[in-house]
Amino acid sequence: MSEGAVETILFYAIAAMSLFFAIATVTARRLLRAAVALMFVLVLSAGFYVMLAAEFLAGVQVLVYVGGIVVVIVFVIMLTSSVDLLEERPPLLRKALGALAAIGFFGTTAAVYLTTDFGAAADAAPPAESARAIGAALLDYGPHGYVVPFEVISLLLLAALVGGIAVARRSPPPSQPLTSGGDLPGEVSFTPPKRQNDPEGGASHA
Amino acid sequence: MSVFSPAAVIAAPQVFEVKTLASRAATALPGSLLESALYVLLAVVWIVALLALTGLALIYLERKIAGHFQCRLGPMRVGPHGIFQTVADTIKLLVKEDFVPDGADKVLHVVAPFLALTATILLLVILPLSPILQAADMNIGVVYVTAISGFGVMGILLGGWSSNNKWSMIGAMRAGAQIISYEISATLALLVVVLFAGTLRLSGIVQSQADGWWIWRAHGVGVVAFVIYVIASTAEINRTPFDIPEGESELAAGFHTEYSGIRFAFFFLAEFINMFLVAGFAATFFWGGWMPFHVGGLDGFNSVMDLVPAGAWFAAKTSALVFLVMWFRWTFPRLRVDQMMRLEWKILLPVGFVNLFAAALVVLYGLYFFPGT
Amino acid sequence: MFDYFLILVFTGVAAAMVGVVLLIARVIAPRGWSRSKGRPYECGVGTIGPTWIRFNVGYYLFALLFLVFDVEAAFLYPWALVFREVGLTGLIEVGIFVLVLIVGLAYAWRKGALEWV
Repeated sequence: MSEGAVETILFYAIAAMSLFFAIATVTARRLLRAAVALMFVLVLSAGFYVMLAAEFLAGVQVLVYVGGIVVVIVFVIMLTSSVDLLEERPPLLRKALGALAAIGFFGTTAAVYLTTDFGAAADAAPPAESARAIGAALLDYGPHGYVVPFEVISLLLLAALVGGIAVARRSPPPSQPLTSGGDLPGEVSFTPPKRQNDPEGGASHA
Repeated sequence: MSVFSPAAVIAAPQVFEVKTLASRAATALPGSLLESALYVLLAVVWIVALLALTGLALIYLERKIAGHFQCRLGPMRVGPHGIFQTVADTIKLLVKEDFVPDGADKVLHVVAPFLALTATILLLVILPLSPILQAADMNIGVVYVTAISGFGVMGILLGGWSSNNKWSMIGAMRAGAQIISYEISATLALLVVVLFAGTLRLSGIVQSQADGWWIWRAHGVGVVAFVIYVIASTAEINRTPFDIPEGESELAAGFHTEYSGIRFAFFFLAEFINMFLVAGFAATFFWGGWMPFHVGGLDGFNSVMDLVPAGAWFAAKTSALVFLVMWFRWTFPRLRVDQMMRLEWKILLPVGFVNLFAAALVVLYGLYFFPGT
Repeated sequence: MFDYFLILVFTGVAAAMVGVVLLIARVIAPRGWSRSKGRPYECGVGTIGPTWIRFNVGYYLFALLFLVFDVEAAFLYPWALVFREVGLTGLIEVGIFVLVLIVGLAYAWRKGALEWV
């Protein structure tokens, strides 16, 4: 068996698994199961990056998407949908519109793939160590460097941070139950009842 | 001709050639598929054996050390000095009922320990125990280590969520918040090592310490990075004083409250192996891993140090760090959630950034020991 | 490349290990069900209210902060790798990058987002 054949088999195996989990992501009615399926989709796409000899990108994919974004999604699920864990089945109209959008997107992507010539990119040898090549390109301030986008990314991250804090800080009114004392659920802010016959308000030891 | 000639030993400092099991398998592949498959099989057997034996040894050691810290003897009954205690415990867990509570998400309840164990095994694969005892050596090594440890969070989060129990739930949420917070500090500490070593490959990082371990070769910044890394990774594996996610006094057993029998054992095993991994990685990044104690230029001294095999150096360093982590448990009281978060975001993170910049300047102006090599 | 193939192998090994051990446990461990045994644990009394309640917003804030710094770290790895080649200019470029994010951290600090409720 040649190396190419092994690679083809691996590619289709990973693709089939990705499709399976992608379908599970959109059809799961429990939100957390959808998040777990999404996690597997993201891990498997890291597999594609490895096959394309972009190992650093694969590592960052797992680092940021699985270790970061999926965890944020889980926290957001906890934050928003409380008791109501099951998602409603969508009405027929929404299903039809969704199908239409999906077909349209598929058509556009297919058209792009069929009309683009990927020959040049496919023939180019990948750099021996992709992380090093990325670093050199990112910090290069010459005409082919990416130092301006690199700095803009930090502004983007700053905007995301400030925006997130601004949105999240406003949402919980201080009197909201179930969030007192940090994270103890079911513990409504509780003040011990004052004793009736105690004018000083303190405990009186006889 | 003499059998042992000191002059010959001293004249030639040892050059370590890294041959991982994966690289052996890859070299054998074009010629013989069978030989390649045998190397992969060897890697599997090696990692599974390492997992089982380290787990057995560490659980026994933890109990023994805990006992002696408290002027007890620890386990004494099963075998001489209780050395078969963990085996007995494993058998006990195996015959206990494997229980899923009512209203739990059955699928995720089973998937969660699998995810936790997978993350642990995938980290064992890359741990360099000696030049030849390393299953795989990815070129993105350090990123791989951070990414897979982040992946391990999902096992804990899912385990807690799927249990339909408030203690589990709170434990999982706390564990999630804690692990991701401290991951940043651990990353900043590792970036210092990457700056000095100039490579992400773990074997390359070990080789870069042939003139001296980074903890002293990078003097000040190396020590600070090491301390940050040990604190942050102790928090990442939920060990005392950062065992808030499973604080017995408030949360029963935290995220694994509703786990029993063998699936509890998976979480437990993953937790102990993670302690070994943290010690092993800290030793690799800061104490030279399997690299013997070398001082650049002192070839005579270095070749004497080389007489101790590389694997023994790794074992000694890792054992010392494992003991340190176990010692923490009996010295520091558990932090509160808010204290833990303050420690990370207001102390470790700013210190980590300052340290990273200091390290960059040290590298830039060659202010560390033996910058020429 | 072969190193990454081993990831696949060892994921399979982990699955096989968990599967085999669960199978053994299923054969030799007792199984039974009773109404009170299945009930979730809560200090010896029945649980009050649903488990999956709404959680403190603090978790979300910290996750968001983490995400920002995680992405930042992803950009710092390539820099640290090529630092010897790029030298001072690289340090200045990354210095600006990190400084912008430290402004974000300072903002979060000022706004009290780093307080645990």
